[in-house]
Amino acid sequence: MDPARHRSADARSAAEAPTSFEDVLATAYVPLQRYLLRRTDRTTAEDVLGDVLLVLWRRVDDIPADAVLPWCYAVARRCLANQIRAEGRRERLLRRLADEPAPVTEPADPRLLDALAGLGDTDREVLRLWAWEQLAPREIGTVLGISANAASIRLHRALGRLRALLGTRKDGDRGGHLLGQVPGGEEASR
Amino acid sequence: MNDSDADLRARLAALDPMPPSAVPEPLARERAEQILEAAMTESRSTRRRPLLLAAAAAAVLVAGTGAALLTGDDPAPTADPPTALELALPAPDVSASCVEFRVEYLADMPTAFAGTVTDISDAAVTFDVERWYTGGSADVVIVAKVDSTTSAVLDAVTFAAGGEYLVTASEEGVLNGCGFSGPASPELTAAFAEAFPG
Repeated sequence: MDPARHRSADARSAAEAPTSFEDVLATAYVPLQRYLLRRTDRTTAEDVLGDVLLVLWRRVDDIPADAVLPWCYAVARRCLANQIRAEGRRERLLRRLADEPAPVTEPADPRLLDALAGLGDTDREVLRLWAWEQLAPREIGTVLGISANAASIRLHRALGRLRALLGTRKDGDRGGHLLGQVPGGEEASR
Repeated sequence: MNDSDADLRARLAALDPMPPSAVPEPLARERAEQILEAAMTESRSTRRRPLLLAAAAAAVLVAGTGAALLTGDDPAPTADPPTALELALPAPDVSASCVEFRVEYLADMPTAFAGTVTDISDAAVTFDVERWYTGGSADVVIVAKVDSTTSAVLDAVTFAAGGEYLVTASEEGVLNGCGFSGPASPELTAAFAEAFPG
């Protein structure tokens, strides 16, 4: 037998049943679609979902049973960043123009949208994971590959910077397309 | 502006382009299935899993990986086998369904041979190998049954003494069903010839 698989099986407590690929899909398939569609256009989301599923299939034995979703989001985040790096910004923009109209046509909260767009990539991702994926700081830490403590501090600081932007920005100074703000993207500050 | 954290979280959530109340139009199911098939095909060489795809929700079921199915030692079909190679039948799994049969998937199989069943006992089905397509050179292949009560059945294939079959097996030494093993029909023979040229 593969010793690595022995080890991972031993590391699991009796209460944590080994995670099967079908369990992972049942838990994460729809949330992963949401995660990707929140951050990129549909065509890219489909491409990246394929990469994500491949990684999950290969590494299903490594997925912790008590953190399936954050672990899957972490994979999706890396795959999306890779895809965007590989594809280049121009092609991505062209694709988006050819894609469906942006879901956020008349944002309910333009000041907040603008402030969010003015944040750095990591701050923005922390806040999205917190408010959109509804993750706790510990889970955000899993996605970002940092400790729960560090994630709490990141979240606190991101909120502070968001408040600062909200306090200084003026109404009507509307930011860029929110969906364009992807991990590793650089069209943030406008 | 001095929102509480909870207020800010609610305001941010209101900007969510995929809010929980809105059911996202799923990414094309056909596309997802292609992705999964490709994932399984590509990963077969790195992950030791049989090739099975559940029909519902594009979920993959894994069958036939139980330790009881293994013949004990690693069959290592690509290493110099003795004159008899031991393989095993997968455990019956009624909930599993198959990926569609494709020659390129067949070509990926690490073990493939044509043989005639010479003996069926409580414990095993014995094949006299007529031709190795890949993964071995043994004269005889012994396929262990899951237990003595199960018949010599693989999916819709019932092995019968004297019958000629084309057989593939995974790296784990477990026979592949789903049309990737079966009676030596002209169609399957042609598919094997195409998958394993030369």
